[in-house]
Amino acid sequence: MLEAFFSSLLQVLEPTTFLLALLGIALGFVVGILPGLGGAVTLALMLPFVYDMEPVQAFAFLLGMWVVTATTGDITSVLLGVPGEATSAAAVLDGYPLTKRGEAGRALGAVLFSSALGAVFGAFVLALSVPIVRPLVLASGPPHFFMLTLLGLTFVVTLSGGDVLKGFLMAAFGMLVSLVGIDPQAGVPRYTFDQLYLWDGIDLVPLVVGLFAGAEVLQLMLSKTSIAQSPPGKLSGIGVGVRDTLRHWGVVVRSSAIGAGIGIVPGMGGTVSQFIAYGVAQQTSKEPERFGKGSIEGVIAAGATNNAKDAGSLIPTVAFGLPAGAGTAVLLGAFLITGLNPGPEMLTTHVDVTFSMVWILVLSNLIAVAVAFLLLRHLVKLTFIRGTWLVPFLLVLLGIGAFTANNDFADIFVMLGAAVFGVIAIHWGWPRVPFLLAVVLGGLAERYLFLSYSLDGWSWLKDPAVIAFAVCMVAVVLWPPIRARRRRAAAARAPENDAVRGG
Amino acid sequence: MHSTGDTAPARIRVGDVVMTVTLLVVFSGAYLLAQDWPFRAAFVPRLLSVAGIGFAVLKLLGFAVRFRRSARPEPGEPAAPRVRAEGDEERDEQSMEYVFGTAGARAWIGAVAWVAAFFAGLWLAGVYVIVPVFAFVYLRVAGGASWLAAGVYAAVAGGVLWLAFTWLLEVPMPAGISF
Repeated sequence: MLEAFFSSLLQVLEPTTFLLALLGIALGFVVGILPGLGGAVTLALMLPFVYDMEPVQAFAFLLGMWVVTATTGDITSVLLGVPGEATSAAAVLDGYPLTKRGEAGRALGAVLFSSALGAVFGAFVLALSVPIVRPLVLASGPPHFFMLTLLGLTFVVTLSGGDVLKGFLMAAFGMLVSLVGIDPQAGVPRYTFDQLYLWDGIDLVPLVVGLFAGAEVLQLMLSKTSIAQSPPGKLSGIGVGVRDTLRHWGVVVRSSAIGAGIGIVPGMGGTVSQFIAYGVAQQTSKEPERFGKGSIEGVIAAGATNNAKDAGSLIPTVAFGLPAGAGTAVLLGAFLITGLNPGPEMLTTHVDVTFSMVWILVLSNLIAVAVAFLLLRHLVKLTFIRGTWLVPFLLVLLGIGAFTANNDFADIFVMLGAAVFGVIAIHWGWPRVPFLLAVVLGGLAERYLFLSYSLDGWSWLKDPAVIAFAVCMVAVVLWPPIRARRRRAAAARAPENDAVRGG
Repeated sequence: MHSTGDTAPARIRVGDVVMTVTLLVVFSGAYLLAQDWPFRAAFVPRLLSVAGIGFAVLKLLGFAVRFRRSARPEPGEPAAPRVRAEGDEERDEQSMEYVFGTAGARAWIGAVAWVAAFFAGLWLAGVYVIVPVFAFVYLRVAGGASWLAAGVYAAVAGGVLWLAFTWLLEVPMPAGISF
């Protein structure tokens, strides 16, 4: 096994393979920076080019490109407040406020370095966990996956801060939006209002682009200033960001573990894991009130989980042929094109290909992060360009990002609707993230619920694991108010204690 | 001893009430629409809309309680002190909340009109016409750029767009209904 592990490194470093990996990395670098044009879309576009390649070469090209989009997607999130990828949305929440304060270098240093560490962690998990995870995944059923989706949602609802009800309302609305389209159970069109476009449901890409990027563009148009208004200093913040990441190593490990763990669950992609990791980082932070206003811990959590999740999502794809998301679903096509059968074969006959994926993950991310660090000084200058010069460019990206999802202009209308909703939500202080996550998870939760019901009726509700998930959910909802109450009580006691000591 | 901020009822924001009532109407409508569907199709929509109605009613009850407290202060208690409302973000001058909250009606109308013009142009004329035209006009009018700078930006924007998306990636672009 160890021999296969190291021989796969030599295969990756073979000149043609390595050059193909570099080409993939370069493409992924650009695609990741461009908001809206997702890694999955680019994977699909590049799939026809791998017909004549050897399996390791094909994965060096495709996987190298795919994982790098997540890394560089964070750069756009931090610098422009526009998620380069749907999976980079969480990096906007704290990365962009830091940029506005003139700390873009620090934010980028932290997000890129935590990305690299997350990638190494994820690759490590991928290498070690396949034999361990296999029986666990096989033993889990739809009820467990259903409860896992609800737990994920509950985590994010607690991100609503002091007003959990607002979070629940937005989550319920998001789940309702996810139900739009033909019902998979009975084939009934739900909430489609006789519009054929809505039969396939509302696409996630225009929704994410509008919800997050629309508001940012409007802000630039209203303020007409540059994204960052504080002077950048000497951009020495990059080193500070790297040191911040090392100082908050616990956040890196936790977020990477969440990314890899959630990535394993089919359907629960990076869009979900980034916000769960962000929520956990907020809950475990000593300064949770800084989250959303430029917390470096929030940036680190978003960066670390973003790359670890790719390795996690490869585990069910390689071991069971179960794609964990859109990207891995396209990647599954590459298996078939190169003559590989995902499953036990990938852990025996073709274990070298599986291990080569581990190396590609690590090398691609390290190369991308090194290149990004070299270009940072130039990238940061983007944030000091006047807003009016960025507006036409960003509007084009908004339009193209939404349109390329399905090549349908109706997606642009969806994006504009989402932008209006996002602006209203920001203006009135309603959380957008529970809404988005509920849209992602809604359909999945319904499918798992009906699968559970079809298999066991309602008896699955008595399953100990299901009960444990339910207890976790209650704890997640109750913990923040309990902690806030204890803090208030401690703060109220502090002056009395001081008075006693003083007296 | 409690601080005023701890015990005093928070100010009710009109936006919160509008949003809650809107969502209540949406959830009620969703529930009514689901009545005609078979059980399997209607189960989750009904469950969700009932939950949504419940959350919205709870939120409205919260507003009512807060309103009563602020309207009838207890003896010795200050009347409806101004404290930060729930969900309020720290409004520094660079935050979106601050910009959206302080922008005048003229700025809003201007920004929305530019966005509407861009997307209407995209729909009518397609990306290769609207991008250079919009970039040029926007930079000249809203950005105060020189003729030369706006012209160079417009040409580069159109060229890069064509090179990257059409020539290199071969991604279909919105062509516009006029062509």
